[in-house]
Parts: sequence; structure tokens; C-alpha cells
Amino acid sequence: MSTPAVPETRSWRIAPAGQLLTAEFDGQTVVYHTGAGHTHWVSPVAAEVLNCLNRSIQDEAGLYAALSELVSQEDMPMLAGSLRETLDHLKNLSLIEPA
Amino acid sequence: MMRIRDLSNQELADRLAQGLDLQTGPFIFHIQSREAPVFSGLRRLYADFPVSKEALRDFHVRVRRPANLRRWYHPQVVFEHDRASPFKPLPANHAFASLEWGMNWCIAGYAHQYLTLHAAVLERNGRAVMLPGEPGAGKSTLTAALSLSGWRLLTDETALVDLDTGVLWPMARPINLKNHSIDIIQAFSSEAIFGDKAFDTHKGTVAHLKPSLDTVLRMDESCRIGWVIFPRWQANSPARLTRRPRADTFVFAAENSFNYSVLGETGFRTLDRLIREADCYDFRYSKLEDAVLAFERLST
Amino acid sequence: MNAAFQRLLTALHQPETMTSLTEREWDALLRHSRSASLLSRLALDVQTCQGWDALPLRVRQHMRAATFVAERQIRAVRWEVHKMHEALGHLDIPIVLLKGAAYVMDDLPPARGRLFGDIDLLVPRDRLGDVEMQLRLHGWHGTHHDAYDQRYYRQWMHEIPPVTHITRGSTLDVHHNILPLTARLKPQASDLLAALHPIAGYSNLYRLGNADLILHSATHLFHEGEWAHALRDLVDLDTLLRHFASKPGFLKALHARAETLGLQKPLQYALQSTQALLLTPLPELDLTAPSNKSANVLINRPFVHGFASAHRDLSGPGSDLALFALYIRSHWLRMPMHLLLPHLLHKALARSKTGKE
Repeated sequence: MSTPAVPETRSWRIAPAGQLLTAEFDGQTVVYHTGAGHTHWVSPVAAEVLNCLNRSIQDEAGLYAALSELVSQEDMPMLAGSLRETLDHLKNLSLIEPA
Repeated sequence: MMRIRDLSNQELADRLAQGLDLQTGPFIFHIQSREAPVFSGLRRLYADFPVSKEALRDFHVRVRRPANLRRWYHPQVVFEHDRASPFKPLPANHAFASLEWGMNWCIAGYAHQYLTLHAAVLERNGRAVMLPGEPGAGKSTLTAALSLSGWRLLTDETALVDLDTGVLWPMARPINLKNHSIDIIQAFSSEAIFGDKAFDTHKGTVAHLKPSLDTVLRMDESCRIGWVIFPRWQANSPARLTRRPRADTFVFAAENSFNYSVLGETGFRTLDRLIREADCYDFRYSKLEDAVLAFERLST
Repeated sequence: MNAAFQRLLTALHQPETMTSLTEREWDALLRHSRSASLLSRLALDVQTCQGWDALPLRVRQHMRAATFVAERQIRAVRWEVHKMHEALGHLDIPIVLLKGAAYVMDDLPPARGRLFGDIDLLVPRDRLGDVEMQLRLHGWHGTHHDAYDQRYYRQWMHEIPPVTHITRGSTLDVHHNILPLTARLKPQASDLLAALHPIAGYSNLYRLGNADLILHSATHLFHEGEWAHALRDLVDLDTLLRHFASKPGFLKALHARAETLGLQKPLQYALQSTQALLLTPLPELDLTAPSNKSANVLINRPFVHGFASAHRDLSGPGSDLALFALYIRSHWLRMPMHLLLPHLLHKALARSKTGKE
């Protein structure tokens, strides 16, 4: 089965049935979802994605734009891939889900 | 204030048969038992502890023989909390260890007015060091050594973090040591007083170290966190502290908490405050004396 | 009924009296209510009646602890329902939450301070296969694997064997009716499914209608074999009645509905028990006519023992016999004699086998 291309317009939200709590220590972010019940240390990209989603539902284009503000020029080519990986990872952790 | 040592042997035995009210930090345990190891454990290791006069006790526990053949044949004992037994029966000569583990179980299972973490806590010069329990790391041995070297013991197993203020509360109870650790600590200090050994427990040979008088007298005294340190004994290693990221420490503490998930957002906020206030380190050592010295330097 | 049991009941129906209990009385009541899974309920009630500050500090600490447990369980129920809906919501069948999960998801008063176990669902019987498959695909797997248990559930009972989630460890009990197929009382699932209330925020998710909520709770309780949670269930019933019965005409409609479903007897027991033990105020004087007066008097005492079995201190002599009678009765209600006897024999043999290991 071929993997379907991820449409850039897929929207995401923080997993409902709970609250996402975050804490930053020395530039590193820890997150806890009260429904899923697990605590994780997440990458800066993931932290920013969660920050955005905590404010409102976002589609991938919007997230990409928000992240571009924070990423250096030389890292830009890897951003799209990094975002896609991050979204998958956060979904597997039950922290976010397609909206 | 009446303490266990003020009771004669007969009085202690009588009280235990009916139910003795023992205060350990914020908790009052109503303990009922006719088992000899429980009597000796309380006599020797809890001598300085207060006998409570309060009518309201936190936990009603019993260590008794089961009502079956095992009452006499290869005798066993069973730990009960409020007349229900959460554990399998143990050999009768493990009765005191069974009581200690049972008391820990009660606190871990019910005391959600605190954030409880699986860690040792000791205090010196007004600040506490918390040693989270990585299995096989030698935490108990180090805890015992520190408690014999001028550090006030709050707990060897169960840290109690105040949900409203973030301070740590003591219980001052005997330190549980096993196998080699017992010999090491006996050699470390001539002041070490141990209870009877229990052989062939699921942890091997187990014995408990009597807490110092100072520790017990100050069982109502809370303190603030200074450091969270992950100790690990490593052959031939010089004593060395290296910084550990707070975020990583947070996640480890959450995973090694008894009730973090029960407390939800409150647990998260309480742990946040605790970790933020603490300096977090990994600690490697091989010689106990070096370790004690390193900690002493830290606290001055 | 002994003094300790009475004290627990009084704390439940008159929470303001908790402020005048002595520490000695609290020493017992904390343990008894915790055993009955009702300490968190008492905690909430005493706060509602402004009595919190008058309580001894140690009591407040235990109550605070119990409240955290109850709140945690509500979070867990919401999460599990969310995950279950991910698996079943697209099947386009009604998924009916029963009991605790229904109270939580529809914000009904019994959810406050309550402790929960498995999540109970009811789905149409003809779609059970699809439901099972979707659950399996999403990580829930069956726990009872031997052929006898499988047949017990599928052929005779009103539910499939419980399924447990492989990573979260939570359990779902999926029913297709509220009583076993073999039971003497035979409420029609189609009647229940015709009177559902939708749950906001989730497609295809429902709870039973108001009257049916009460009838289900009553039926479940008075068919119960193990009475350890019975007092908590009675408190649920009392809470539901206080919530719904204030509306005029509700009780009349409740009786009519009981008749439609053939559940008059459980309703009668429920109303008698809640009024007797929890002083449920029912606006219209409820004169449920017992069909057999003498049987009625005999039945009630074992029920009281059943409710008191939440803690050893609450029941008196005769308790073991009464509980045994209730246990036998529940089986008798669930299965006809020709099925019951072989079944009990099978269970006894199975238990003695595991006992030897």
C-alpha cells in the first residue's frame, strides 16, 4: 500500500478530554496531558507546535509558518520534514489529534 | 510527651496486643500485633518515637497470623490495613519488615494530601537533598551513611511534598537496608544500631537502621529542597557531581512518584515548583567516605 | 442496624451533622466510608454545606486525598470514553453509556465524588460483531479465553466478555441488554434504545432516558451477587431520585415505565431502600404495593446486611448468612435452575482447581 501524501491542509488540535500543561526549565519543555496522563520532555519544535495548538486549532501550513519564525535560515530546508515527524510523534503520544 | 522507651516491656506488649498508637511525622499508625519481631522492632528502633494520645488515627494496621494451618505450621504472618490484606502472607519472622513495608504501602496508596515521591530525603543546614530511587544504585547505603554523618533523615523511601507550600515533611522512620549494605554500614559507623535481620525475604536479607535521636525529635520540622541528586555507586569512581537537566529530572521524578497521576494538575504544579527550586545532579562514587565528604561540601 | 452503619447513613443524608462528630467517631467513619467508596462523596457534601472549616485537620487531609482520587477517576473516564468513541463512533450505531460513565459524560449529580471501575456500554445486539472487531483493532482484547466462559457470556449473559486495553489497562463491559438473556425479568432492549438522551460533543453517544437510568440502577443493584459496592449504588439511586423526582409527574411516569419494562419489583425495592436508609424525599407519597407482603418483610433484612457489607464494622450477626442468601438469590434471578446448578458446580470446580496451584 503506498503512503498517501500528507496534505498540508490537515488540521490539528490538542487531544480533548483533558488539558495540556507545560513547564519550561532552562530552555527545555516538559508537557503533561491530564487526560492521557503521561509526562514528556519534548523538543523545541514540539514545544512550539504544542504552544500554537494550545492557543487554537491549526493546520499544517499555519504551524509551518509559526515555526519558520523561530528556525535559522540553514535549518529551513529540514523544517517541513521535522514538522511532519513531530506531528506524528505527538499523535503517537496521544497529545494531539487530527481536528 | 510519652515515647516508646517510656513503656515497660509488659506495657509495650499489652499496648501492641490492643493497638499501639505510633506517631511518625504527620501520620499516626494504630498498630496491632502479638508477633515477637514487631515487639522487638518497636522496642529497639522506634524507642524515641511518640506514643500518640489522639483519638483519630490515620491508618489501622495489623500484623497477625492467618486463621488457617499456617498459624502454626511453617508459621506465616499477614499484614492488614483496616482488616484487608493487600499482600501475600510472609514467614512469621519477617513480621517487622512486613509492618514497615505495609506502612509504606499505606502512605503511598492513600496520602494524597502530599505529592509522594520514591526517594530518600535528608536535611543539613536548613536545605534538603532528595535522592530519587534508581534501582540498584545504592541509594539506601548512601542515605544510611549520610544519616550517620550529621544529616537529619526525613525519609529513606517516601518523600512527602507539601502541595500548598512545596516544603518537605519528615517521617524519620528506620532505614531499610539489605544484604551487603548492612555490613557496609555496620563497618562505616560504630553508632549504627540495627534491628534483627530477616533472612530470605524477596529482597534478600533485610534489616533496619535506627534513626538518630535528633532525627526523631525533629519529626515535625519541615524544610525546603536544595538539591535533587541521583547517586550511583560505580567501582573505582572518584566522587563526582555533574549537572543533570531539570527537565529530565522532572520526568524521572514524575515516573517515580507514587501519586503524581492521581494529583493531576496539582501534581504537575507541585513538582514544577520543587524541581525549579532544586539544583539537580548526577553523582558517581565508589568510596562511601568520599561521598559523605562531597555532600558535606555541597551543604556548606 | 448498628450505630456505626447509622452514622454513615446519617452523614450521607444529613451532611451538616458531620461538623459535630468527635475525633473518635471520625476515626471509624473515615475507614467505613472509604471502604464503601463514599469518602470522596462525603468530602464534597460537607463542602457544599459549608462545614469544611469545622472539621478536624486530619479529617480534611483524608478527605482532600480522597477527592483527588475521585477527580482523577473522572479524568480517566472522560479519556476512556474519548478513546472508545475513536474506535466506535463511526459505526453509526447508538452507543449507550451506562451508570458511572453516563453520569460523568452528561454531568449528572451522581458523578460528584464518585469512584468508578470499568466502563459499561450498551449497543444493539445485531452489531456486536462490528463493535468487537473495532475494539480489537484499537487495542482492546478479551480476557476470558476458555470456552466455558465465552459461552457463558455470549449465550446466556447480556454482555460479551470484558475487554481490556493493551496499554492503558482500562476495561470495557459491552452489553446488549441490562439483564441476562436467561434472567426471569425480560426488559426489551428495543424499548431502552427508543428513549435515549444524546451526550453533547460526541456523535452516536447516548445515555438511557431519565426513568431508565433509575430503573437500570435499581435492577442492577437488586440482581447483584456481590454487595460490596451496593451502598455506593444506593447513593447513586438516591441522588438520581432527588435530581429527577422533584419534577411533578416524574414518579408516576417512572412507575409506568417500570411496568412497560417489567421492572416493577426492582423499582419497589429501590424506592423502599432509599427511603428507609437515605430518607429520599419523594414528593408523592410512594405506596408501592408489595405483591407479596410476607416475602417483602423477609427480603428487606438481607438487603440491609448487603448494604452494610461495605465494611466489617457495619454489619452484625447473621451477616454472613444474609450475604450468602443474596449471592444465591442473584444467581437464581439470572438463570433458571437447569442452567444454574451445572453453572455453580462448574465455578466451584474451577475455583478449587486454581486453589490447588
